[in-house]
Amino acid sequence: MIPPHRKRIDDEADLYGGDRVQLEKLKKTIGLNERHVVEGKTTSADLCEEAANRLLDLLGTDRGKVDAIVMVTQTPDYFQPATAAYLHGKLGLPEDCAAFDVNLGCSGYVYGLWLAFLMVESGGCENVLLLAGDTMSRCVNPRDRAVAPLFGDAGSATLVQRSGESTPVYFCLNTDGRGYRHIIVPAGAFRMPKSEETSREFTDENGNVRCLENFAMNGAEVFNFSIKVEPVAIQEILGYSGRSKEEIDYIVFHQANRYIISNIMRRLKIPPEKAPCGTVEKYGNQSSASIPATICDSLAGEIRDGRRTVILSGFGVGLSWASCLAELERVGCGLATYQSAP
Amino acid sequence: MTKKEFLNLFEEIIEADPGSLKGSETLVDIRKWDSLAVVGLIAMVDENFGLTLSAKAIRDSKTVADLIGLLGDRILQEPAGT
Repeated sequence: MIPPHRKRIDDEADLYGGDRVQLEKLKKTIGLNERHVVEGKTTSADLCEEAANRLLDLLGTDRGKVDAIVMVTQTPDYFQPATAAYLHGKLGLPEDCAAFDVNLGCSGYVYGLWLAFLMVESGGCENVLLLAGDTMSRCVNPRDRAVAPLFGDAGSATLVQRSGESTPVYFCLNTDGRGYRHIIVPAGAFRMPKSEETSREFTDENGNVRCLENFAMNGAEVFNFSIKVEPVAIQEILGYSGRSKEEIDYIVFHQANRYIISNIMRRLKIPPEKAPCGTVEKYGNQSSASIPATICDSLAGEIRDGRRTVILSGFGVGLSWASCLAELERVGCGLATYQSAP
Repeated sequence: MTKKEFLNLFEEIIEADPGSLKGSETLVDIRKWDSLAVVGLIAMVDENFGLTLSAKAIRDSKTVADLIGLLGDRILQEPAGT
């Protein structure tokens, strides 16, 4: 589910000092172009609520049979209560339903899938509703050109159901908390509560403007982290599942940007066409929703019938990274546009 | 790789004219030496040397020669007279 409002990097030449050459380079190498962002006070929960309603209606799922709702987001409606609890009420789910949030970003969708699979596999749940979404555009400073043009907003809904058939799914989950500073919103919670000082804008060494309540990312560190851990993670899950590179039909990475994905694929020596990366230039980096958005947008036409082996792999804030090898079939729906007023 | 070959690749990253860099340039004086160029350098070194430059080591470098120094003896000494 994507918000209808589009921002185009071409309209933001001022951010780059009017340097059209630089702009074209960013479009070509990083894959920046357009991004869909929320307007007003639309939240991740709003986007996920509509995604969930559409999904449950489409599948004809009895809402009384949903055993758990898991919301993956770093842009919740409230510090308290959990966004999953708020959405539980909005979606009309039954009282015998677990609801909780997972505070993860770019790796979050795979973590959410892992949880949902475990909950079903353990025998406790038949239907787990996994929601993943973020509104990063509301965290970035519009004058921080290192991050503002990168992020789009989106919400997703996935229903993990018990089936009569056993299909193995493999997960590898990783963390390097020593790198927590590299992707961070420093102020606004309890370590550094909001104050006059945290809301004061400053200009960093690269000429970007932000305040401590804004999202900040050390691009070079994150790039290094991504090209270091992701190729290893893909090799690891191949080894764990006993599959070869050739047996994988698609690798759906978190859509950080085209440059990072192409560098990971170069290191892996896997043909780049196996890693769809067309969503980033249309919608931006959609954080926790980027993997489901890419499945819906890029693979819906590709996987109409039959079954494909895919690896899903997210990496980012934490620092955290997670990969999953699974079979995907009948990817039916494309991306939908959010219409409701909050 | 020779120093000259490295400089040629670095010129592409910072969009400088081919052959314009000597190595003694101060990084802060290079207009296109920005966060994107840093990532471009990391990717170029990764691709050509299989080496991951640390972001801190790049940040601590003052000149183009300092960056070349990060690659140690991977950058071949140029034959005398060139």
